[in-house]
Amino acid sequence: MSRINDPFAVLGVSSSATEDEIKAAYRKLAKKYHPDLNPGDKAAEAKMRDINEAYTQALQIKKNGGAWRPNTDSGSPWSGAYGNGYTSGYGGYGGQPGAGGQYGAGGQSGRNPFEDFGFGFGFDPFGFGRQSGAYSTAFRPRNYAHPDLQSAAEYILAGRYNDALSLLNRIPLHNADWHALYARADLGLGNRVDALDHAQSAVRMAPEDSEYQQLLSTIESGRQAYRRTQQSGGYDFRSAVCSNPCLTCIAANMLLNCCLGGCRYGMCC
Amino acid sequence: MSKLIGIDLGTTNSCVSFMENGRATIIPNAEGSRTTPSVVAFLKDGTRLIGSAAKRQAVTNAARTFSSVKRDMGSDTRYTVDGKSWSPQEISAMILRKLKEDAEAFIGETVTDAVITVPAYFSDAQRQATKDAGLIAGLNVLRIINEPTSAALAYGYNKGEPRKVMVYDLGGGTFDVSILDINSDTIEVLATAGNNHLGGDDFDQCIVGFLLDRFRKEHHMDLSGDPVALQRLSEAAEKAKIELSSLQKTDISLPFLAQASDGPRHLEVELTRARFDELTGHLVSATRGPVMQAMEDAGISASQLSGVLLVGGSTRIPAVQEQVRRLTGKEPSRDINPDECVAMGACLQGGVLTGAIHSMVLIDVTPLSLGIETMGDVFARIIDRNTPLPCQHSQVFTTAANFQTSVEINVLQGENETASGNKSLGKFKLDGIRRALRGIPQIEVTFNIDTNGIVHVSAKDLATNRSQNITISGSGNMSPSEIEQAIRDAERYARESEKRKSAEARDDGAYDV
Repeated sequence: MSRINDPFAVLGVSSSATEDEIKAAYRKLAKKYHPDLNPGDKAAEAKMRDINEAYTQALQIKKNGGAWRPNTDSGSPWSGAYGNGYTSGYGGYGGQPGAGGQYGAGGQSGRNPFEDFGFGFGFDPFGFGRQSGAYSTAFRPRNYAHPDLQSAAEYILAGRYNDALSLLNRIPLHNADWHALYARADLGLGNRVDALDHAQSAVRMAPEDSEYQQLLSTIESGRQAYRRTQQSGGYDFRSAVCSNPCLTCIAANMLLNCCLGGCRYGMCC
Repeated sequence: MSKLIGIDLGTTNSCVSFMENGRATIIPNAEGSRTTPSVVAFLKDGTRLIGSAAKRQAVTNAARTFSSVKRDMGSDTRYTVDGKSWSPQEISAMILRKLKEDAEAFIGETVTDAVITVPAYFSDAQRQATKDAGLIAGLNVLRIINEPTSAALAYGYNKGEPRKVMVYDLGGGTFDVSILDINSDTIEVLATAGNNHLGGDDFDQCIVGFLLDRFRKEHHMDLSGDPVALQRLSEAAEKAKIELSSLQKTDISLPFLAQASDGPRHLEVELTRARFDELTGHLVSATRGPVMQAMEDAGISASQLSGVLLVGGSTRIPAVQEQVRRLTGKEPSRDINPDECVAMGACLQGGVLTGAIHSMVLIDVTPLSLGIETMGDVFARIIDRNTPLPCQHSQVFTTAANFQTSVEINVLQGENETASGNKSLGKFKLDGIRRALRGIPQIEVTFNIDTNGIVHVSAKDLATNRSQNITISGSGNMSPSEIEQAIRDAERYARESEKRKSAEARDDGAYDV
């Protein structure tokens, strides 16, 4: 949650100001409000915190191409960057840069961003948790090591998948983050086969990462849904097993029995 | 009016300065040196030796001599002597007290206020520990300032034209790299990166390892469990390392290093600079990552830098200088003294804080991302690294279970994606949440990083606007009562040693008559 709405107003510059103008304005304000020059003045310190936040945001906006919309537009891809995030009841995850947008799996962008907001932090005895149910369809850009990856994530949030892909194609380093973003952009364009490929690469490179697993299973389940409709009513064993832990146990037992039994009778499964 | 001092509390050496006629001046210690070894020794009779006196007797009193304590700051390491255990803060406080006393003797006035430097990459716990050490030493710590920033201040103060510089600071135990934008009246840190466990000590250890190997091959004896031999090897290694900065080869000669059944064993080895570079190549290479990361975070390329400053004694190593040239394509600047500029910047910053210097403001950043642990060992970032200070971020939390009245938040610092891969600053317990259905209470938790780089956490119930109780646990640092006890212990020791000194002076007087 942030205390500032318009970083440019805090810095006293227009939203069309250049990076140099922003820096000059910032230095001037720092000379006035920095706590070092105002010892013990709590108001100046609070003001400096706002100035610092506005400065970081304004530079970020310029770095990302300079498009700025007032953050009353909560669906805007920038809303997270301003840190206004979510102040509604399930609050929790406000203000992470870039966390504001939402991406529906299967290319359903433009939903109400609060509708499938699925990673509120809860107080529970085990600490804070993402509520994982709805999370499967939400995309939260992480803090990427490479600034281009960050930009690509922002393009994806904005629904500009082609821009994201062309940016990704220029990055020589293909790590797990890269593959995951590629998969998401592909998914946005409907290139499901390629998306699956990249999601698999991401999971292979970072097998521990739950987000990538979610992504992969989202893409895979989409494929299965497609297969199911074709086979008109074929029983999807896999999704039934996964959705019911008891069934999983039973199924595992069955498999085990089957294997042991099968081997004894000379037929391996 | 009492004077303010700037202290560079180093891993291996410390340095003090003060403002004299508007200029930062290095204060020589009681022994006449401009730097003081950060070594503390406990003698059998209860007296303590600090500085070069402690370093000199380290071989004969290895178990009761402590050096490179800075590496353990902010951890729960304790040093035990005669059944009493000391925290790294308390040992550091002994060094700080000597620096303070030597400064008072030199200036001729009492000293209470100080600015103390820390590696830029120090975490919250390490900064807090350093501040506590100052407190225990009887100092009012006006500011904890980052070493590379301090060096840049000493370098950039009163030099007109704007420029972007890189500070490459390889000290005794830590490595920092910062990119700064120096203007006529502001110094802005654009990015900082580093490694808290990489420094000159590691270079020494490489040589020690080489010597142990050599001795094992020649004499079939393993000295790695012999503290006296190890102390001698460490000293010889340090000396050889220093010599190899100006010479192509050096002889290491340690007679009577060990005793075998049929007589004493000696070590005679020639070490060339080429062999030394081979032994320590991995350490030099390890500085590459932070340099690249700092440049990337600052959003600049090496060609945009107008200069590179070398800080810390280990930057005298030719291979290190070569690495800097290779990474930046620039010839490092030789305008500043790598051992003294950090302390000088610290007292300049003191001048800014007390109003003696009006024309300058320093804007530093937080070196590490701050976040909290969420379910599944996930690290959720709240404040990104390289955010300018002071900064603040608030987040609203709610309950996950009905009628839940308390919750624990694990606050972490670091860059790892997993919570367990980062350093915990402590667990903050929020209690007294009013009983309600889950999801109803809304508690706003505010994370605030001050200009010292120290994290503060507060919480407020948004419905009642009442602030929520927060208790911190699980950090390796000392509690307020432990600090008070340490201050009392330190003062008592100071009084006792004062008495002892005056008694000795009386004895000396008696001889004079």
